[in-house]
Amino acid sequence: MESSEREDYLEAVLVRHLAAQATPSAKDVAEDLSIGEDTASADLKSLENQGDLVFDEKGAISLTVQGHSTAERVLKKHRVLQCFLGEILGMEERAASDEACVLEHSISDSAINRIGSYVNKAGSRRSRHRMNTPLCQPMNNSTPKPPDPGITPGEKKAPHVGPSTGLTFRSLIDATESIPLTVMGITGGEYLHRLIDLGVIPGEVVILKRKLHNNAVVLQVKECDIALSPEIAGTILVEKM
Amino acid sequence: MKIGLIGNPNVGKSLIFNQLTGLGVEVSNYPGTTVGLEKGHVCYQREKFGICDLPGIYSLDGDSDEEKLVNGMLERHELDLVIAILDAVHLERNLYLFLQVAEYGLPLLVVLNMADEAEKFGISVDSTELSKILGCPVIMTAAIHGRGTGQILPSALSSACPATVAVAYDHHIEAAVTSIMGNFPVSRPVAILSLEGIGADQEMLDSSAAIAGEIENRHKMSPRQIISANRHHFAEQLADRVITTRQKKPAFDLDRLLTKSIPGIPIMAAILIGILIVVFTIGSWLERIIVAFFTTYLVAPLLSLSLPPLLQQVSISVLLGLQAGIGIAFPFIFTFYIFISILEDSGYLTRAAFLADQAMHRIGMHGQAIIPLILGFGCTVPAVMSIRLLASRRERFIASFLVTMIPCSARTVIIAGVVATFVGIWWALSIYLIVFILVVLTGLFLSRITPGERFGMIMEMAPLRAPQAGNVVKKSWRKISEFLIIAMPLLILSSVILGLLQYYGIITAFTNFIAPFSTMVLGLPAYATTALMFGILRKEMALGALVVLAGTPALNTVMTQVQLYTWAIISVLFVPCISTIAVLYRQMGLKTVVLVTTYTLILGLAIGAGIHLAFP
Repeated sequence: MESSEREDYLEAVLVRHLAAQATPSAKDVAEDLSIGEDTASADLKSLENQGDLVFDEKGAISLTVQGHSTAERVLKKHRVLQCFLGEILGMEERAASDEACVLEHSISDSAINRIGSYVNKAGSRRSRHRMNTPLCQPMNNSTPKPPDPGITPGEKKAPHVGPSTGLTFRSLIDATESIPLTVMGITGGEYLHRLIDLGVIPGEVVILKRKLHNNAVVLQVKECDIALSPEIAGTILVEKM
Repeated sequence: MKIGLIGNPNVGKSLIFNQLTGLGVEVSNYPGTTVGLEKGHVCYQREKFGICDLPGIYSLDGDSDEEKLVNGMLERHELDLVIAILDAVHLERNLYLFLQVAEYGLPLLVVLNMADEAEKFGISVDSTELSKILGCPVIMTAAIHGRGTGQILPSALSSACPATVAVAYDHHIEAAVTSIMGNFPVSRPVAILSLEGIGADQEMLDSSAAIAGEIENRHKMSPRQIISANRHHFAEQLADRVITTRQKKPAFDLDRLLTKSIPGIPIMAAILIGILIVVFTIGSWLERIIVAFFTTYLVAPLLSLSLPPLLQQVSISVLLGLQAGIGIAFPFIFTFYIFISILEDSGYLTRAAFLADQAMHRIGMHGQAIIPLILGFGCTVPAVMSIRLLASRRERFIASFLVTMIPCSARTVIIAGVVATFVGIWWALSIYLIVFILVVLTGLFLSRITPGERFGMIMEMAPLRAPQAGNVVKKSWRKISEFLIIAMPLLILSSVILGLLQYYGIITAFTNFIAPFSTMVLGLPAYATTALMFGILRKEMALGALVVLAGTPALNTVMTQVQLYTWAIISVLFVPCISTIAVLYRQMGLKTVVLVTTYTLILGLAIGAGIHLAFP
């Protein structure tokens, strides 16, 4: 068995464990990883022999200390990567998760730490109330799944409607008119001060009142209408409420 | 005792200043009307107080001239009392500046202006509660109707006191400020600014920067961002406590039409062209009446007196000067000012600026630059002064050229009086078209070659409101009376000098000298070129001089239509008038003035020569 497969199994067990606060069976794990139950059972047995997990008499799986620490490390990488790909780079949620599933096995600890601190920094700009909270809250209830061929196209088209995630991070000129938006950050330094004075700060709720075809916009901030040139509107990052 | 009016742009500071002092400073409905410091005096209970109207700002920690000016006055304690003027409709955003001003500890009076508009929007502000929270007196006014402004001075003098409200900053910021104040003998607001990296004392800035770096590492946010977030947050909470909003059924929002490309841009074009046509029509109609009155009742009787030649020349010159002045001033300039004032007061200019943003980018500026350009149709001098609205020197440089090329109302007089009257109204409008094309080409060219940083538009939209007839007429009258006081005597004097020069044959000598150039290159009679020279003093004097030199107001009897058209377009384009040159020099320096003057001179003569070549 390859080490990436081992990590996938252990991660799946941990996620199940965290989500249901219970011990999963080989069948559950096979379902989560979309593989045959027989293969899963055999592989899990060999992991038991390596000392990563144990089966109890009912066939429920618990992680050993060694298995748990591996699973935790991989899951952490997965979350950081998914957050980075989805929220910072703007990938669709499921695609970000799929991509993270692949990258999590090969990325080095030093790279993941750097990405993690970058994500944290971006997150702290997000809210004036919650400084230093990470940008992505760990996905409490959603399970990181490997590629699932059974997913319907309809589900794929609506990736942003999930209750806990569904954050979309984009520049003001990509937003649509008349929808409340939360300011996530300002990337351009030059215009920063005047925008801050007018109340365009992270966490502020604004409304895009008008967007011309050339991307000049009128933004409603604190009940005032502010006209912005396209190059300035492009530096303001927003997220749908 | 010195009192300062401080507030955001476009909250009515200048209007209140006018009502307090009885002076007449410029009041308009777009942000940035007041560019410098306006000073006045007011007597109250037999005591004299100095009042200054400060330019509108959004905060004290920016690096624009206006922000530095206000900040400097507060820091050096040049003001004994501050009247903070807040817009009741946008209280939260206005409180952001107020909280910063309050830190200077000066006696304060808060004036909640635009109470009438707040009422209209269903916003009510509990001024008693606000006063309790801020710790200084608060009064409500609606300066546009003069409501409550009588209370400002009595309240300020009897009860103004330093505000007790203080923003609760993040504790790291508080610790840093305490540490800066422990090491340097500065006040709290100066220490806060220094933490944001603003100040004059390099040693203090260096040590503040070290602390700021630590805070930034810890918070992943610069102290400046933390401080302003704290202030905004505080202002938000404060506003929540004193404002109750009754949801009113929103009236039809005119902006749904005005700020869309369609129909916004056609509306903008229609407004500008409509104004030109109306001014032409009303102007020439009034001009005919006034000129006919002068000719029948003053010039003809004077001629029939058969005075000695010198006396007759002088008195005729005086009459012609007067006729030109009055015949020009009221019909064209006054009508134009009325329309410009309506535009200024309606808040429409900011919409035009928004729509024009992209087009303005092409010619090297941004949307706000359309405000000086539109004002330029009235008079180039205030238009050049309003170039200060523009953020970068590059834009101001380009605007200096374009604004001086826009036909001001005096040049409209020439276009209307010469071309519309003798050639045709569509020909007159074609001059505007030519100037427009030249402005665009000049802009395209300058935006390519002018170095410097670009700075996009961040402009608060002024609220749309119906201009008040009284204010519009008063404002137009103030501008026209400036014309009557300054320009009329000049016009009469120069008319007399012109008459005398003519009497003694000096004009003839000059005309003979210029004749070859005039007829060969421009295809104009020599006296017409001589008349152009007078346009340098004041644009409309070129027309006056032409009438005097041609010896008749019926210009079509002495010049062909092509000649009249050529003459008009040269005088519109070439060399800005002397007042423009002076104000441009003050604003932009010698180099720009020389460049602008040379460029327009060459442009005017080249276009004139071009027309002569095409239609010999």
